[in-house]
Amino acid sequence: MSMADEQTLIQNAQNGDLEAFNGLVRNYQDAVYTLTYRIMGEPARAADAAQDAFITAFRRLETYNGGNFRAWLMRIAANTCYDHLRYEKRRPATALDDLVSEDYADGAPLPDQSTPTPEQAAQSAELSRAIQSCIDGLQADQRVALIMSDVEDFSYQEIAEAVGVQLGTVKSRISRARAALRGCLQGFRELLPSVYRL
Amino acid sequence: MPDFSEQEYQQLSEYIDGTLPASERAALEARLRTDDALRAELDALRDTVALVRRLPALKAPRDFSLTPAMVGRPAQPSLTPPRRDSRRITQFPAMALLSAAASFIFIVLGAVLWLSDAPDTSPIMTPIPAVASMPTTPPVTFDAPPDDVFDGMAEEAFAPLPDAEVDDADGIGAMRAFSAPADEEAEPELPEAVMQADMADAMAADDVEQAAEAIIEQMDGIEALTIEPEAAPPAPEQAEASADAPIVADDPPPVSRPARDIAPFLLIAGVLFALLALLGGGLTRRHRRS
Repeated sequence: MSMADEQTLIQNAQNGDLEAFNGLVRNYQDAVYTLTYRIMGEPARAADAAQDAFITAFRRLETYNGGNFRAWLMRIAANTCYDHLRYEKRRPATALDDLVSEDYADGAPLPDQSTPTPEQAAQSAELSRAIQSCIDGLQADQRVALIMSDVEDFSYQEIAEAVGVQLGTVKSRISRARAALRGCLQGFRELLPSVYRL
Repeated sequence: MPDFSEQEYQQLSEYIDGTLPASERAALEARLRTDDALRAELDALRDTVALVRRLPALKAPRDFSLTPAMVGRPAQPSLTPPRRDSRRITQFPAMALLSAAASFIFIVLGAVLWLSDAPDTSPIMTPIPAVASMPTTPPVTFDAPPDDVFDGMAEEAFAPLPDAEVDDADGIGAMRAFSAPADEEAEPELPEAVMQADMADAMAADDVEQAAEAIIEQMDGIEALTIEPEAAPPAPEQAEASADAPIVADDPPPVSRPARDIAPFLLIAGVLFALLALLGGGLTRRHRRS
């Protein structure tokens, strides 16, 4: 979709054209679902969060004043996930130490994109599931900050505005998340390529 | 895993992202040159970030398109053509083609039936001897009666009719025979004024039976006036002559022709389907333009 087409759809959607907004939904739903899955860690909850994110985006279309629509949409998606995670806070979180030996076979349906052989594809899928398991073990606020920073390339300031916290809080959450993730991934050394020095 | 402080991890993290202030950056780089454990931890954190970034993109498990119900408001007319628009367009040519085919079938069938049943053009209409020789009733004619038929009708209308004639015609006589006394048979001869006076007398005398009888007999007189010229049975010799008369092929009797009766309806249906085909074609062109 070209930028001109996207701007036309955005303008029509801002005028209340739901079908135009659905054109944007179809263009970005994979990216939004990827983000919500990385944060929520489970397909059904990720789908719920993605759907809610699109509904919220449609209702807040008047707040979009140009710029990177994808970034605007991803901020809404991440914030929606954060709201979902806060709502689910009563649920007991799984410790990172427990995740090392946990069965992670219920991960996301990861597509085979950069694996030339079936064996490599299987190893890559297993590594992805291991990483996702470690991400799922992070605290919710750390998880959101990590995904927004390292998956979606948001700046600290953008994360702080999206989540509604101070800049220093974002830096702290990201550094803690990376340290915890590094410790978790050491338990999957046999899955890691040799170039990684965990 | 070496034990570093939270502040050291935050410095390493910001150093990886390139957001560490210049003064802190210089101090950290100086320490990294001498501290192997800290440098190894920096490399491990860099690899961790790289592993997270290499996570593949996922495909949405379903379409997240919104419905009007999801956003809590009724659907609005779309400025963007919906996806199924092309499917809707294809329905109109199908309607036009089917209507055209139906129109052709109905018109051809109607024309064939119409022409094949024509008496002077089709060989199948030559009278079959067995059918032509069948006895049929003569055609009923409705010629206007001569003027003298009405002469003296006023007098004949109230003339006493034989009961058998009227009773056979409409069955009223049986009812009258059941209800009328035998000594009042001569009353229908009265003219209208006399009849009305008689009815008034009967009503004044509270004799309901007599009033009813007077009305019935008055009706008999009227029916006799209107029915008699048509309901007169043919004379026996006339009926005999018509039964014996040979049927000539040039003057066929008016037999029923169901095929020819249906033909006009088939032709009308064909015209209607032709109009429907034109409508379908017009809608197709209109949707393609839009």
